[in-house]
Amino acid sequence: MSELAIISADSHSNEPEEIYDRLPAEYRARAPHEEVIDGKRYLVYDGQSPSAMEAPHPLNEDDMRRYWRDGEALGRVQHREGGTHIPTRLADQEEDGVVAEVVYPQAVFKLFASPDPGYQLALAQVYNDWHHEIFGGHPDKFVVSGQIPVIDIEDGIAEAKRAAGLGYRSFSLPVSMPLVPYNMPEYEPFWANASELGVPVAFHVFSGGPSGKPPSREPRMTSPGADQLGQVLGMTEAMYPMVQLIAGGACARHPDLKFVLAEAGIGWIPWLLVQMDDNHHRRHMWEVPQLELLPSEYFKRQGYSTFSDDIVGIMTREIAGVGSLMWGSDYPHDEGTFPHSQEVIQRMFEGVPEEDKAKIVSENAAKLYGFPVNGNS
Amino acid sequence: MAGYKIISADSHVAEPPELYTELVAPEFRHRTPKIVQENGRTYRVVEGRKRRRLDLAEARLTEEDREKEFRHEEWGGRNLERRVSEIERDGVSAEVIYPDYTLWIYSSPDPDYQMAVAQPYNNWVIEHFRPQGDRFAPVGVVPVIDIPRAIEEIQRLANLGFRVASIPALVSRLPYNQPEYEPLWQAIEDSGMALSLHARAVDYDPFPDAIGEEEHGGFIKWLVCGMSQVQEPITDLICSGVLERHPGIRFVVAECGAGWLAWLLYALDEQAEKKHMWIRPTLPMRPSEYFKRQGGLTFGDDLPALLNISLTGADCLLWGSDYPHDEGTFPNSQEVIERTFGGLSESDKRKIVGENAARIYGFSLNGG
Repeated sequence: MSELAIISADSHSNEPEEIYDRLPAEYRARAPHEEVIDGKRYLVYDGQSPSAMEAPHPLNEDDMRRYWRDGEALGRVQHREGGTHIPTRLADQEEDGVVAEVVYPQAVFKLFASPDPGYQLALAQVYNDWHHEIFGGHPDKFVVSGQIPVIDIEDGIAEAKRAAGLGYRSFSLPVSMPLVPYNMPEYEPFWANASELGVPVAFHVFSGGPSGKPPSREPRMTSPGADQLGQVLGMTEAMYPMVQLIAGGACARHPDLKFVLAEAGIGWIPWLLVQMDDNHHRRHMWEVPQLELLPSEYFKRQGYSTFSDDIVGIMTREIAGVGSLMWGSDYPHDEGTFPHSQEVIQRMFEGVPEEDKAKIVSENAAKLYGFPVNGNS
Repeated sequence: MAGYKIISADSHVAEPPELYTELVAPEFRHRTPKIVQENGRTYRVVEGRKRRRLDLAEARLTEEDREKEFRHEEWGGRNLERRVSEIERDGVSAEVIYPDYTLWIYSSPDPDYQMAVAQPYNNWVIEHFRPQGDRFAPVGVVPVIDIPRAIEEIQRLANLGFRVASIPALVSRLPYNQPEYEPLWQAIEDSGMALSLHARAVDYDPFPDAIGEEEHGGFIKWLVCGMSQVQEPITDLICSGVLERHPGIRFVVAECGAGWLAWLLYALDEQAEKKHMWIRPTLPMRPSEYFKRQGGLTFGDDLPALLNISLTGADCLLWGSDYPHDEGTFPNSQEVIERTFGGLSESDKRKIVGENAARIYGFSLNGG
């Protein structure tokens, strides 16, 4: 076991279906629910095409440790306790060598895809209240990310204020808002508000906003290679909020605003920063608004990204900025590192100075979210 | 000078004016790209794309900018003698030549229009550069909406002597993981030509001006995110099994940068293992192995790509100046190469700045 107090800056809980009973009656039909299509089980989220629950290939023993599959019936995301039974969760984290976590939701993320602002706000409020009831009593162990819809910006500001009042130290916004992207001035009051509240804004991948098109009834993930397309390229969707906040000038206007790209990986960030800096020089004639600092300087000052197993980003960490990288286990997902986080960390950080490693696996998250650092400095 | 041949695997030529006034069939001429003046503003109009305002940046141009984009006069990079002297001034001895406007034909929804421009362009470009065949490898442009016609054009290009054929970087209507393209991949493999995809040459127009986004950093978003967008067709070609089924295909994605490649390959390998229960088709090799065997990327000034070389290897990276574009390295290519290639072995450097292009596009390595 490492003597470092390792913090997972990206973990998840599964919301029990009961939370949807708390929705006002008019919105319940939109809540995530299971459907059987051609004899197969799917999860249906409002505004999205159905997602398969049963994998086409068998699970191995290691897979059984994740998603709490060994606890109850098999399925893609379905275990009713879903990481919300605190003693079980803490025991898992202890086994994996993790002392604290930033906890994001599971199905509730998909609320952002709904075309209905009323439903988005209602479910976000239900989730924020419920999550606070479960995790709120353990501020040294868990930072929960409040869900903040911005389809209606004034509602978003009000919910952010309410959540901050409950003690939330992270706000999750949709990773993308295709109809009104984050570089647009409409969001200006939101950035000002988040900046004033001192709460970092997270863009977790796989949480896109409404596309403006009706969803297909065709199940997702059926075309050849689809899982890789969704899983890996879904991570790069975080490039958009990053470029939008920097190039649109929000970071320049709100130097205290912090943003986190969650589960986005880090290996692509040096490339993006070098490319943006390059264009800032070479395509200066087209840059609107003109930025005073280099794009990479805004990222190093205000941006963060989380990763699980990404040797590429560790090799090029100087370019992204060691202060901007945060490890996360992505517990309990298959694509994450649980229950092998210590092995993965050891492999990735071989030959990396202890000082850099400490920042990336612990101190950056402790500082950003206000976790106790347990004597490490 | 380097003492060996430096080849730009990504350069451009401007279409000759007669392409649109004489070579394209009369019934399509009124639809070809044009510059229009309106209320004192200058716009470029291209079928299927939003109008681009051109005069906004004029006031900010520096002396060096005026040397680029063929701004100082309308010669468009077509005078071969002059072109040779320009690229030699930049330390480059040979180039893979992409078009300018003809890259945008894929935005048109009309397959007849696409082909009506592509064919005369292809005829012109191969004849124009033929006298200097060891210096210039022009890229043939292939529309793919109508797959049987695309296959005919691929065969025609091979007969005309093209060494590389390009298809859209992204077809949103029918992605490259779909089985409809199977005969197209077979035709490419049979032709012996390299396959090329140029960043931002896609079948829709992601440029953001329609909602006024251009005023809020939209331009840089379009430019940079348009490069990483090619991760989608690359993933399609690998993960749907196209490269497994067609080991003879060699493909290069141009002007997309390369600093993200190590990450993409690492992430694909990692997910192929961890999400094994969801992966279809199951492939005998790891995703990265297919790319290393058959793929390539071009970049200009991209230090992260070179820092990651222990993961990607040097065989799949090709340097390109993007001459004459603003975002490219002309006329400072030697400085850029000097600054970014410092940590590489001499043999890796030679591969990336010339030998890989020579192998894929059939340039000789003599001289330089």
